[in-house]
Amino acid sequence: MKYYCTSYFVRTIKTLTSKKIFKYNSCIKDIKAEFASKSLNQIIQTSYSLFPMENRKFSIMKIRIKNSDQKVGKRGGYRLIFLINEEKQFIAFLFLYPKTGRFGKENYDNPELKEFLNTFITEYEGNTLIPIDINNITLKYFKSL
Amino acid sequence: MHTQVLEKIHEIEYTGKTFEEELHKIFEVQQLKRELKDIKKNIKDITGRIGELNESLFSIKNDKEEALESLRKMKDLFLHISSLIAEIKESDYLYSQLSKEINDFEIEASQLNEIIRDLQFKFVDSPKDKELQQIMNKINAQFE
Repeated sequence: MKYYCTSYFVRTIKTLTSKKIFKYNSCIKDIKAEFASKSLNQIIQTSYSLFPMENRKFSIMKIRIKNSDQKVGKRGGYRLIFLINEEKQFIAFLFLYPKTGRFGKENYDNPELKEFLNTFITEYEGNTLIPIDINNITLKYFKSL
Repeated sequence: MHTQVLEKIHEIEYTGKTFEEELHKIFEVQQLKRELKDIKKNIKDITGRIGELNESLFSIKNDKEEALESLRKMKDLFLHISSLIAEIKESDYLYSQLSKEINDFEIEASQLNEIIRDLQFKFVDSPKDKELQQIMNKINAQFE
């Protein structure tokens, strides 16, 4: 399976992990724990499709991820919005937001979602999507981008 | 002498009355404590039930008919929960006594709200959103 992310996603990670005091520093470790060594079907089963797949190869998915820094479990943890294409075995991380803490937010809104998707289109067309090795992903990698 | 006796009686009466008032206050506090204990128990109970409901709702997230049928009831329930939380928060004393329970209650309520918004987006808003449909079609076309 191929994993990618957008520059928007990278910016989010950098903001969340900019200070240890915010308690989001293990977000990459938590994402890795949720995705690494999982089949596409396992990922689909634990995620929620925000946009019906009917006649479409792509679906917008949302998954709940624990925040091990704040020890709030999945409910109060992160929400990761990503695109998935079953046929191509392709996943692209678009946006991550925490439910609690300094950058906690209740939900995304529609204009935001369109922005994430448009960023994806631009970066896919420009061949600038960032590849991710999900089994060996580290925060250091994101910080270096 | 007679006046002294009357004064003593009055003094005892006054002390007795004050003592009785104090006792009543204690009884009132004890009663309040018992009531608070009951309220805490009820909030925990409702929180647990909403948690169970949220887990069940996750399973209907892909079922359009069931989701649309439940959406209105879920919205009503959420409104009730929100006004209950607001009412408790209005009383500083009550909120200070119930803050932990209310915090857990709010987490479950927020979870319910998130499910409502996701269902609303998926089955009500996004099918009508032409711009979003176009974006998704464009993404699909790229992978042809």
